[in-house]
Amino acid sequence: MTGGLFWERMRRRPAALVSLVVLVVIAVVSFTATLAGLVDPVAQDVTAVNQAPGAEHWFGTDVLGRDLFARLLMGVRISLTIAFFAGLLDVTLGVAWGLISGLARRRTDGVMQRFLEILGGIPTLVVLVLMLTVLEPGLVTIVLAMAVTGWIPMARLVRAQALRVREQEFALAARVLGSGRVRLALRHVVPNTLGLIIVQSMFTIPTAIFFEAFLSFIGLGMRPPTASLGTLLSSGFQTFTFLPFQMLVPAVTLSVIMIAFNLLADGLRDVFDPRGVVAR
Amino acid sequence: MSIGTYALRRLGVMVVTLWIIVTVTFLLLHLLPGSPFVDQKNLTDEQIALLYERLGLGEPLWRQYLDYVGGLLRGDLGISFQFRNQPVATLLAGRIGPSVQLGLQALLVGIPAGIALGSVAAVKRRTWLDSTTTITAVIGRSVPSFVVAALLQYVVGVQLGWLPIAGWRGFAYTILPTLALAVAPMADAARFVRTEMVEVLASDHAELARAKGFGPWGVARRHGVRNSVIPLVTLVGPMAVSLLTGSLVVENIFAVPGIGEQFVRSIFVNDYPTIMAVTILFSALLLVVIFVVDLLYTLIDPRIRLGGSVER
Repeated sequence: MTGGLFWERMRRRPAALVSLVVLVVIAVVSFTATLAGLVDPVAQDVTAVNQAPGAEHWFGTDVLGRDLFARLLMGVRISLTIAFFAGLLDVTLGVAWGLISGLARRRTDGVMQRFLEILGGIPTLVVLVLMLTVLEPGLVTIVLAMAVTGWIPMARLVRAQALRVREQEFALAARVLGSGRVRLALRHVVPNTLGLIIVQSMFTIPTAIFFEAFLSFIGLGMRPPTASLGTLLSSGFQTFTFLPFQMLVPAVTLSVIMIAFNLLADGLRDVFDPRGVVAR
Repeated sequence: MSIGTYALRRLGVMVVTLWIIVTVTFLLLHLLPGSPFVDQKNLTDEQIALLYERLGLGEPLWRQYLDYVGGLLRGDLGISFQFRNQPVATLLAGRIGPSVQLGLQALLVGIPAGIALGSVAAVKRRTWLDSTTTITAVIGRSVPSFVVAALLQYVVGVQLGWLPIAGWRGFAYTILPTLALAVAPMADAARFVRTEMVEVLASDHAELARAKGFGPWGVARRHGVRNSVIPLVTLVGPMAVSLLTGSLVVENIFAVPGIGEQFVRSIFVNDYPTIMAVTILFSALLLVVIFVVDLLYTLIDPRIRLGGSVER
């Protein structure tokens, strides 16, 4: 699909476009503000603990007197980083596995499929809890734990697409003319699957954000003083009944990001995948 | 492939998967450094030796593994390190009730609500009713259940005081956790039913029904609902997964004495036998649910290709 056609189709999906803009703004603001040191998410001020939102602290302060706006920006940055790398690993592993499995000999494909079937039977929840119980929780471990089962849908999708493409006439012609499997994969299968890969990865990102928040909420997430959306939610929940803003701020932010990603993914699916091949 | 062969093959894969889960769980948790006892400093060497003896921790790893797997097959899940040294099986058995009740109630509320929303959206396609439903569905599947749970607790429990905030002493205590858990299945069902029903309503037999004089609701009731609800069976697997995940935090928020709440507490205090047992229990439960759903679906709809792989 050309860029022009893409934007033309996107223009007819205002929800997806708005979501895209919202996400870009959130990402740019949170990354530049925290990385350029415009805000300080770890500075404690014992004279100003648990303050309500106001002029000095837009979103108030937490129990240690840290500015909640700064912590929120850091939280968004960490959560987006986790989601990005989790998505990247899913794409890399899934596409590689799917291509090899789909273009390999029947027996290799069969073995690879059985492996997927068994790994896919293990609930993500179980993998995450086990890995984070055993390993020290942190950005890298969370990303790795999510990747253990996260790439399976992508692998299935790419394999199915590879099987479809390899039987089509242009692919047969390429094989007759002497293209090897690698060339077939890179020249024909990947370009014809790119849209689906993008859509699928857009669905894995909100899943990753959700699981990060979930893990932090049950005490297996990032360690303080690092903030993520999950740790902010979970510490906000401790004081929820008398200082509701400490939870509402990360809760609303998390929800907005999740909704935006889902709307964007829906829009992209309509653009790239009008027949709805990507299953959720 | 006949349905019998298919079922047997799936059963085989299921057993292998479960065995791998058990083995990996066992190895991971036994290779952990540290001691299972919180107050080891207060124990004499003799007491520690005695505890190791009683829990079988002094045996070689392969021996412990065989003992554990043997125990599992007899329904013995080991002894909890932290919770008054009860057998894990007893500990969990007392907690299954509330979890199952919440899960079923959430499905009973969520799925019919989702079907109703999805049907309305499909019949009133491209009206404000449709957009409202779609937006509700997107919000419902985007906002995590624990955020919904905390908000419900705050608004309905704390601010309005209509329902109890937390605890487990009667039906009123189940309402808020049920609602929090029901949001996701409702959103998924609504979205699914809308898509299916839009397709059914555009089909020839729906057209014929309209030609015979049925109104839009009559067609939806006689043709749409039945045709779009049967494929809904495929959603039960993913729903079970998300209910289980949600139950961990929702039970915690509302202090429900269920499996999820016990699991989170066990994680906090590193009670490995309980963590292992719940891990295995959850995996087994989900594997069985998905297996049953797949079989059911192939029975209901013979067009489903057995084996699930693309022909080549």
